Formats: sequence, C-alpha cells, structure tokens
Amino acid sequence: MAEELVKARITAVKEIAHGLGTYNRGLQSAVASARSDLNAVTAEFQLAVVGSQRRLQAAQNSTRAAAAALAACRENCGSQQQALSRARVQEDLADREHQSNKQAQSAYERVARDLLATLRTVTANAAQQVPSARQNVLEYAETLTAYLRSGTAG
Amino acid sequence: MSGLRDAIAVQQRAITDLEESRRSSAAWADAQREKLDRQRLDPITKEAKHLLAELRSSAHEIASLQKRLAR
Repeated sequence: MAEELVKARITAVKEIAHGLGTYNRGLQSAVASARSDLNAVTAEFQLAVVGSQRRLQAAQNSTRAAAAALAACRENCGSQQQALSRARVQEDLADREHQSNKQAQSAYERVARDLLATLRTVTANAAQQVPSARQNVLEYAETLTAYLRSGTAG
Repeated sequence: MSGLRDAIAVQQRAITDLEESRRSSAAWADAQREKLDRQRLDPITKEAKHLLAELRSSAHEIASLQKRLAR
C-alpha cells in the first residue's frame, strides 16, 4: 500500500475518533439539558394543578357560604339566590379548569416518562458503543502506523 | 422549554459533527471502513437520530400541553 494512502487512512480514522468524542460530549450535554428542562416543566405542571385545586376549594367555600346565606334568608331572598347561582357557576368553571389541568398533567407525565426512558436507553447504549467504536478506530490507526513504521509501505 | 430546545440544538450539532467526520473520511473506502461503518457507526448514528426525533416530538407535545394549563 502506498505510504500516502496509509497516511490518509490514519488521518481518516483519527477524524472519526475525534468525531465520536465530539458527538459523545454533545450527547451528554443534550441529555443533561433535556433532563433539566423536564424537571422544570414537571414543577410547572404541579404548580398549575395545585393552583387550580386551591381556586376550586375557594369556589366550593363560596358556594357553601352562599347556600348558607340563602338558607338563613327569610324574605326578599332574590339577591342571595343570585349570589348562589353565581357561586355555582364559578365553582363549575373552577372544577372544569382543575380537571383540565389534571388531564394535561397526566398527559405530560406520559410524555416525560417516555422521553426519560429514551434518554436512559440512549445514554446507556452510547456509554457502551461510543468508547468501543473509538477504541476500534484508534486500534486501526495504530495498526496502520505500525505498518508504516515497519517500512513495508509502498 | 429552553432546555429541550437547547437539547434539540445540541443533539442536532452532535449528529452533524459525527456525520461530518464520517464524510471527511469518505475517500477511505475499504473493507475495514465498511465494517466499521456498518457495525460501529451506523448504530450510533441511528440511535442519535432516534433521540433527536423524540426530543422534537416531546418538545412539541409538551408545548401544546402547557398551552392547555389554566394558571
């Protein structure tokens, strides 16, 4: 094999080894970034569900208070009746928002669980495949270098 | 969602770097290279692209679910 060709191959395999190293660092960074974002988004969904639950409880308390006021009323109870109707509408709205938040949170948890599983799999596979492939190309580069040193090239 | 957007960008660059290093050695085509490509580099590239696709799809789904949240 001509010396120039062997040298070109050594450069090529070293470039691949370098590319693998760069890829591995990029992958680690992407995985860390994705995990960090998932943690932040998980907290965001939890906060929204806790908030809608609080609003629902407040609306339920208002309904109970309005119902009690109406029950205590003896005459000219139109305004108490209207207040109870409004409170019930608000409670219904708060309930729908809370249910919707809980559904969105469940759907998000499914997406996050699937993505985390993929992140774990890809990370584990890369930890095995990348060093092995890198070692493979570096060994080949060494073989080619030894071939050049032996003086049999050309 | 900036973390997932960063992850997508970084993963995209990582794949580009890997493919660039493979392209730059395209002149070197022999049985050893083909074996290396098939047995070592193809699975890594395939998995890298799978992760990128899932990051994109998850980011899209999560953004859509965030819009549904009543705060």
